[in-house]
Amino acid sequence: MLTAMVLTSFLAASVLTTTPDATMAREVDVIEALERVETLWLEGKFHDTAEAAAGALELIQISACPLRADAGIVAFIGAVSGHGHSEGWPGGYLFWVANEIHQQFGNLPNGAAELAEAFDSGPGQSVTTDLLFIRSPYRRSDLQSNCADPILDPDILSASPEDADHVYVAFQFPGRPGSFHRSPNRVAYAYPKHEGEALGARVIELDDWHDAGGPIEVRVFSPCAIYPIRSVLYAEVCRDRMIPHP
Amino acid sequence: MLKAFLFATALVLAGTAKAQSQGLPSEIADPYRSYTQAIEAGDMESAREHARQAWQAAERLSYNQETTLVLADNYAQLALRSQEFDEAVRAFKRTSELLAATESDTFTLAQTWMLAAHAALSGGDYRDARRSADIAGDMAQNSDDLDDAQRADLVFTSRAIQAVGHWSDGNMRPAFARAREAMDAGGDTDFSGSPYYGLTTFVLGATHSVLRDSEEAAYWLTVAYHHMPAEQDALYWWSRYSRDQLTEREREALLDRLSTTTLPSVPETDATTARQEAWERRRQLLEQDGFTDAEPLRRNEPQYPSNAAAAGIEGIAVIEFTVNEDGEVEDEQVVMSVPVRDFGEVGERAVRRWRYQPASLKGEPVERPGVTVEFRFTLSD
Repeated sequence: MLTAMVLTSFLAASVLTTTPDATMAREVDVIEALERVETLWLEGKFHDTAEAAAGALELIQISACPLRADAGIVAFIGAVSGHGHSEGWPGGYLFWVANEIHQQFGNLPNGAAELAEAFDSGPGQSVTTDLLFIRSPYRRSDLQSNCADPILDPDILSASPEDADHVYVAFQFPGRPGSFHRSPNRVAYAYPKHEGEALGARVIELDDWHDAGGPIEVRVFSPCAIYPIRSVLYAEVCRDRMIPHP
Repeated sequence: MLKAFLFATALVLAGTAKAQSQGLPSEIADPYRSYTQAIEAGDMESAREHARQAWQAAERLSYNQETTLVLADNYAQLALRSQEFDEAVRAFKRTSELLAATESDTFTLAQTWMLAAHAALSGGDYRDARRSADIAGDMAQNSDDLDDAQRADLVFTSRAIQAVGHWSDGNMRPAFARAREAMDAGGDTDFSGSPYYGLTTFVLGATHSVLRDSEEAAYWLTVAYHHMPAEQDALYWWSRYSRDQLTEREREALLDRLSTTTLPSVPETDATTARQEAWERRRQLLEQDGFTDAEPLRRNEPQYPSNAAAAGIEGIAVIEFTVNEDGEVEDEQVVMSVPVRDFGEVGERAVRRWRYQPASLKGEPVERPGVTVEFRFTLSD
């Protein structure tokens, strides 16, 4: 359902971009959308945040000032909060936008920038993101930057809402990809920060992962997350009980 | 489009039939009445049998051609609906003969031949499908009483059916030629609403893969992905493989080209999402500093499958596998094998014997998942 809604709204954006003069998003609407994203994000409401972030990015993309620091923050928020909530969430595109904007403004914290770079899906790489890239203003090189004051403080990416409905943790695997058992050695990014880092530290301390695929792996605790420890066995760590259940 | 004109044809003929049903001989009128009652009751199986009886009675009595063709068409439509393809072909062809004898308009006649072709293709008689489609296409090209849109639609469908027919028979080159003719049938006409559009774009994508034209393959496989939801998983994978052969600039050009193409949104399946995530993880692995990819040491090509060679079938297979830390192949799987499974089977057997210099990270051997190879099976002229 969420996928359908999001695709529909991105499609609506495409219709709008064909007649930019008549339908360009107003700055006041962009600001309002960004403030709503910030509120939901800081309340830890992942699902609602994901939808709001996708909508806010659409508005920015069809505004007079698409190349602005807020676009990267809101795209990153959309990628993180949408992960695991729906099939087909365009995380690769959102991380790509976050990464592109970060190249211009340098406004993502360290771990967040690593995460966005690891998971960004560039133009033309995947058939599932073509429609988004076709409509994206960020493929153009002639965009004016610094055309709008930032609304979102990058520090909100490191907030720690206590009642978040999910916890997002990106684990970093530094050594030997492709070997059967590998240990994550640190949390590259977590949201909410404190709870995510604590859960991440617990997972790191407990087990090697079986066949971890790449240098960064993401788990969303809702409230539990599983990870492979043998070829046929998984461990589970939950928010309310930090005990693994193989 | 095909279904739409099928229905339209049925309505026109059924209307005529109703007008003519008064005063029919009882051998025809009785089953015809039962046919109409069954239609009203929604019992299509019974309707089909009564339609057949009515038509056969008309043929036996050598009843007038206008009525006979309507009865043949009624039966043909119901036979097609119930997937009695041979029967549908027979009845559509007879309808076409009678339409020609009664000097029907070209559009109706060509459409009826196209329905015969569609039924033959659906039933797996590809040669007959091509023949009927060719008749319809020639009519469309040589007729003066069609407007441009009608002619373009008919020529597109005719060439598309021939392309799919050739493809299904493993005849790559004629399939490629007919598919291109289909796309060129109407200048700027948009054929994306046709039920044959997806299949035709698939044929173009697959044949361009065989020709090692990755830019064209990536484009057409992408269009096929958007128009063939049932094949989404394999087409996601294959289009992505084609894109991996492209430079960044070529991928940008692909997007520019796709931006001028009708691409319906396709909700992703779980399988596609899983493939996408696996692909992203592999990409991360390949982009790590100090990573050296696996290099083939021994790689024998698969043998052409004897059954396919004897039948003159050409095709393509895409195999994905992992190279382990010892350089051996494991977890091989056939991603795509068209138009027959044999190509995938011999490809799978071949890669099992391959050996690699293992991939390494900072000098240490590591497993390399997601190695992909395409095998193209073509016969010399």
